[in-house]
Amino acid sequence: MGKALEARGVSARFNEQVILREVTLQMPANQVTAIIGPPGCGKSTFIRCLNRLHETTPGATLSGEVLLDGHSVYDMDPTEVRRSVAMIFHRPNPFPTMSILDNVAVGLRLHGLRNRARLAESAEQALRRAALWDEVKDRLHLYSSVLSLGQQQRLCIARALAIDPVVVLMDEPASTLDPLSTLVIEELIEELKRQYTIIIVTHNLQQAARVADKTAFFLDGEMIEQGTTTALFTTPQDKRTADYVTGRFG
Amino acid sequence: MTRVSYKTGRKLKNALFVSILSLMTSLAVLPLLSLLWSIGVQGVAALVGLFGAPLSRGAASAVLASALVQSLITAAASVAIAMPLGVAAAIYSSQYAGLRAGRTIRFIMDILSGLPSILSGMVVFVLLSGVSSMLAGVLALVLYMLPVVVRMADQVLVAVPVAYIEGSLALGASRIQTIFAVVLPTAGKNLVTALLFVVARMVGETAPLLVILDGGATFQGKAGFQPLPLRLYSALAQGGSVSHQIVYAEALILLAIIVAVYGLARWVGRSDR
Ligand SMILES: Nc1ncnc2c1ncn2[C@@H]1O[C@H](COP(=O)(O)OP(=O)(O)OP(=O)(O)O)[C@@H](O)[C@H]1O
Ligand SMILES: [Mg+2]
Repeated sequence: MGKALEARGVSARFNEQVILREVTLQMPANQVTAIIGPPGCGKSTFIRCLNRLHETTPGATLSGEVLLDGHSVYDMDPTEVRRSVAMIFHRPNPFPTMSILDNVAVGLRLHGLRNRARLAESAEQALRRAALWDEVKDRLHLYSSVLSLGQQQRLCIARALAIDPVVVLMDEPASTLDPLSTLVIEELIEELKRQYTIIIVTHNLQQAARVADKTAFFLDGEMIEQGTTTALFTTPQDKRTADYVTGRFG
Repeated sequence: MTRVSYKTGRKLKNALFVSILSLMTSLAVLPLLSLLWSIGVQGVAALVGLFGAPLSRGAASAVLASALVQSLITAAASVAIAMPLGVAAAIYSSQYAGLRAGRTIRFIMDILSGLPSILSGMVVFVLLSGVSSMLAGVLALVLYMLPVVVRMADQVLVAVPVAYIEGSLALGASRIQTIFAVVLPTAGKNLVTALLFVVARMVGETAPLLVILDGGATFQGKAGFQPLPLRLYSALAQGGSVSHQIVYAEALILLAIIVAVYGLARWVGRSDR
């Protein structure tokens, strides 16, 4: 089951430059929360604070709190946080030196699982959940580069699901994909939210409208408005949100 | 009318430019080719002469063989020390050091690897005078190689896309796990190629060794420690027809070793494997 995630007053910086200002946002369990906003407004930075990836960049600092099911992730071991809060990147990044199977199994292997049969079994399960199994089951030992971009992205989703996270962060997961692969990913998100809490950054307003239960609008490092997706798109409270969702800027 | 003359003018300029370029290229390449050619021809002749006449010139071929063995041992020992140290430092500078610390390390390594190699020989000579020549030779080569190894390996490791590193970290892997599971395997071939180039460059390096050897022995050609580049040097200094032969034989062997290492580096680095 998914768990709720909550950001409280999260501010983030790169050296002296302030990227995020006091962002507070609740991301309910087993729902899809979409983050929208113009380029450079800090969407990626925000979700990278949620799994503590932000702090791995040289010069990056932050303040505020992130709560996973009520527990502060900044009090936990970062590797533990990232096991629970998985991340899909905007460009598919399967490991080029590993086979399809190893790409999915690598997370479990890094966490100490050695039994080959168990690894293969978990990998199959993850590939099924990522709706990729049927397309790769006959070529598990080939390099991931034989797959199409859309398949590679689902491989990355399988790789993330294999370690049993409770939250899945997605940073524009379909932005480099063709329309059909995008549709496959969107259907997958619909399916995955039963088991996971999902936070998705997207440039594509229609996509947010299609997949998200809740949407938050970011501008210039600030969270301007949040609400149910329907409310945010049909009756925005802030003029800037209204301008953005009606396509007047951004 | 004007258009035609413009065209011919341009063609003329073009032809002139191309011939100047070819002339310069030939000036650069021809001496090198003739050098290779004379080393090849005379070296083969010398080797045949030396090893084909066991009785009268057995001593010369024995010296040559021992120089070869010493070369290989010295090279292998210094590689075995410098590579792990250098790669470890490069892992630190590329994966752990912040932006500023990384830049500083790179800057220092650039300066060190740009220093004349004879300096590393001097340093070892000053620090360790009295230690056996082979050990001092190895240390001098290690000192000479280390900054080059760090710089080359750092370049290769920095080029590993951040996307793969973050992909691994996002799975809950630690930094060290990420280095062994993702960074090194991704860098793999390029790293090995870069290190082989360093080896090839080092095999023929004489200067650091010259300083630390007992001068008299070196120039009389009967020193205990005499790797190939040094043998070459001392044989040249000796004069005489046998030593002339030895020089060519040694040059050929040295050349063959360097070509072999470069060839290996190219083969490892080929993208279609
Ligand atoms: N490693 C970094 N060092 C310094 N500044 C950075 C770094 N990464 C991002 N930034 C800056 O932080 C700001 C927010 O970037 P971020 O990637 O979070 O925006 P985004 O909303 O995800 O944009 P996009 O829609 O283009 O992906 C930008 O101004 C960007 O230039
Ligand atoms: Mg982004």
